[in-house]
Amino acid sequence: MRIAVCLKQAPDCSSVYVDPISGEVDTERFVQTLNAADACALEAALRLKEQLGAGSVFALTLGPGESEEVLRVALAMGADTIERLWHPSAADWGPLTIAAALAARLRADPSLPDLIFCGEQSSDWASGTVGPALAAYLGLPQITGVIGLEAHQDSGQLLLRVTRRLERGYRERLLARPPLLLTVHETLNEPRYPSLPAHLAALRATITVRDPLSLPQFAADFEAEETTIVEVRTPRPRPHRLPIPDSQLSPFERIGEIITGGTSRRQARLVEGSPEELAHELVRFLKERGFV
Amino acid sequence: MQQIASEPVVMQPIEERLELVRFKVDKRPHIRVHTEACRDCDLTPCVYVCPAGLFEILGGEMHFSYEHCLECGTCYVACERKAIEWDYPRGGWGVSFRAS
Amino acid sequence: MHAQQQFDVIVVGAGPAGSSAALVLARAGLRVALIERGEYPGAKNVSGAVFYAPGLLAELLPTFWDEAPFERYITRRVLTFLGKESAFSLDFRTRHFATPPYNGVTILRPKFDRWLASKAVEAGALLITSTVVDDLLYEGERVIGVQCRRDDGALYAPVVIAADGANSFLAKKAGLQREFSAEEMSLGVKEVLRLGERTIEERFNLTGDEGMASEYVGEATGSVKGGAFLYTNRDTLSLGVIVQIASLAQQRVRPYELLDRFKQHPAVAPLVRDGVTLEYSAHMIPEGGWQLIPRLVRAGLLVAGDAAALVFAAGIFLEGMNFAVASGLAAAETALEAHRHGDFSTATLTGYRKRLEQSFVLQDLQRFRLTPAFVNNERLQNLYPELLCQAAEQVFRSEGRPRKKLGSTILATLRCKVSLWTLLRDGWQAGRALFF
Ligand SMILES: Cc1cc2nc3c(=O)[nH]c(=O)nc-3n(C[C@H](O)[C@H](O)[C@H](O)COP(=O)(O)OP(=O)(O)OC[C@H]3O[C@@H](n4cnc5c(N)ncnc54)[C@H](O)[C@@H]3O)c2cc1C
Ligand code: SF4
Ligand code: SF4
Repeated sequence: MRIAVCLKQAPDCSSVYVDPISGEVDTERFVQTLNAADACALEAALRLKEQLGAGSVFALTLGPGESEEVLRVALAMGADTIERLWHPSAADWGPLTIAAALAARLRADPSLPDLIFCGEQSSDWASGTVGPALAAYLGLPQITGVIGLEAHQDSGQLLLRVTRRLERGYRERLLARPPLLLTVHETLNEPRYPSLPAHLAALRATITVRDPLSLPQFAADFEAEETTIVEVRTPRPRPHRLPIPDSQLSPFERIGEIITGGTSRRQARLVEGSPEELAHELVRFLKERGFV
Repeated sequence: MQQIASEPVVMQPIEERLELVRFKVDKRPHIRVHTEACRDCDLTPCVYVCPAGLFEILGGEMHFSYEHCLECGTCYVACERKAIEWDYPRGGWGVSFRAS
Repeated sequence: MHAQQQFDVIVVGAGPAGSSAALVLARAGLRVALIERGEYPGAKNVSGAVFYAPGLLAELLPTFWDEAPFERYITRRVLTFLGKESAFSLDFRTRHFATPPYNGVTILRPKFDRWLASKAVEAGALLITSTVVDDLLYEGERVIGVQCRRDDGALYAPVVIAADGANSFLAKKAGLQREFSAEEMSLGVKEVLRLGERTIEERFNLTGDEGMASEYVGEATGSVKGGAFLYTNRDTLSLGVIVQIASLAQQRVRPYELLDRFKQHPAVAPLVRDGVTLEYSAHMIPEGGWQLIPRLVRAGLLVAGDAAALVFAAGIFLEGMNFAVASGLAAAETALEAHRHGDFSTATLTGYRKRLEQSFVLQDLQRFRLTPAFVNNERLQNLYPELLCQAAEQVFRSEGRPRKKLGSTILATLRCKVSLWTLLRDGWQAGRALFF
């Protein structure tokens, strides 16, 4: 089992300070660390490898010299090989180009890894795009927002039981087989604290650096960078309008209405069928509601 | 020499100050207070000396939280009854100053 | 034991003491481990901070003045006696402190400590961050390494330098230092306020990279023993109060309330107006002076910097970083000598104490050994600053009535609060503590 983990150095959330008036982020006070969700992705990969008793974990990052820190953390935690991609122009790349570079690097090996782990989002821009885009470039199925992961052997084959996080506290359980890409939420597990010998070895390791532009399969569509940042500001809490609870209800139900803000349960409809039929159904639904 | 009419001093809540500090909170507390000893401690120095205001007596009982500790060691020096078991948090955890 | 876990010297703590020691040792070609519990050097460290005698480091690092992240060099020093609603200042400035090696520079520890440690790393030391040293390892009476709080956490070296700062746990565990009392230790709380470069230069009368270091006594800390400081950085101010822990507990005031009071004192408020607080921090200072200095060595172990209470805290002086650097360097030289002779016994390592005795470190501390007790005198802390302000007020007051001669005005102010005898005795003690 070959597992690849994509990591990123990002400012630790508790070190991000936004000026309440100007909305400016004070970058001087950042503490750069291994992005929390990525650390969980790495931990998940290591646990899987240990459970299977065989395999290798390859940790990959795209970033400037300082971000070697995160590869050293990965090595100390137990990654078998590490590599950094960098080109000065990459400082301006958006998530799609970054994913294209990572894809090109993974394609450079004779075969693709059986499993790829990414963090669901990074603490800085939280676009949550790199993982899904990477899966798309590599033509792999993907599961995002993983908050539970169990591995089973099913007649000699690996079967993953995955719990993913949906909005409003909903959960989805899935069964999946590799090859596959998973993006991991930062609550999945608690990353380990490396032993001293591993920590020392990692501090002393030399790290391979590759230029993504020199990778033969790197085909970035720079035009496709669709994101434009218009403005950054601190979210202002929206005024919450509370409906006055129905006086006919019992106190218990009234409290319930107040704390749920009077939202009713979602009207959900379960549709079954082949992927094509489902897609048609979805498009029909969106048209019906005027979304497309 | 200046002479200006003195205004009453406005105290900034300590929580507001601590919001500016970065903490990486470990699950395991690095300070433990043996609160039985606090019941008959008259002066309760820890309550006054802690620069993060983490010691509080509520309803006659000592309440302590370690999460926003600045790791100065003052409480440990001030507590004459040695009711405070003090250690550093795990390496890399706890407080990190950035602008001081 | 793996070769990986064997070093020639282990230095605990990447503060000024530890990083300077590691730098010298690594340059001499030894295998050095520099262990730091913070995520990066400086993460846990707080100073005012004026780094005095930066020449100590500039001698070692030729690129110091181009590279070192210092904020401003000090050309203006102010000592202010605060009364309740008045202030009396001595304001000194000189161009003689305006050329390298400056007399003092302001720094911010997280930046400065990181940089200094990076110099040790460039010289070849292995910086092990995010790792707490829990204890020393012994073979018989001899220290042979340290135990870190990680799995398989033992590291070995024939000599360990404990530069682990004010709490001094390693020296205590090694039986060199005793438990501290609350009279010997002070607590410093500090804020960094952003004001902008222009405002700082205008408000404090500075040009270019000039800076000011200002100390306050008297009402700065109310009835609590201690003082306050205000230093200029490039575009921020560092200000804080430093108070004796025992006195804080007795007076039942919280340190951050003192900080608020200081910031809002009529003589200070205009200086900090519109400042945006960036960070709040706190740290202990071993201010006990001469009596607090532990035994400095035992076989295989040297103690340096704050861990050895080598802080020069004598009223208007608060110098710790330069003492830390100098003691770190002396410890490193001693460890080098021990390596040359292959002898790490207490007898060889005692050369460390001799080196310190020959330098300003122990000489200053011994010469001013009476000062801590003197500055903690109640009258000096509260009464005299207030009286000084009152006397000045008498002198300057103009009410359209006949005035008395100045001498009798001042004496009259003093005499209504203290007896002549007490005054003389305090004067004598001041002389012994500071002048002769
Ligand atoms: C508010 C305040 C203002 C001050 N102002 C000034 C000033 O203006 N000028 C001046 O010269 N001095 C000043 N000082 C004093 C000065 O800060 C200290 O004297 C100086 O920091 C001592 O340096 P050090 O290297 O000995 O210890 P520290 O700087 O404390 O370094 C010790 C290092 O060891 C690490 N460490 C500790 N224990 C362990 C462990 N078990 N394992 C691993 N790592 C460990 C710590 O994280 C730290 O990095 C001030 C102090 C305070 C609190
Ligand atoms: S000083 Fe010690 S004994 Fe007294 S209240 Fe505080 S922790 Fe308890
Ligand atoms: S170490 Fe300092 S900040 Fe932490 S609890 Fe004790 S006194 Fe408070």
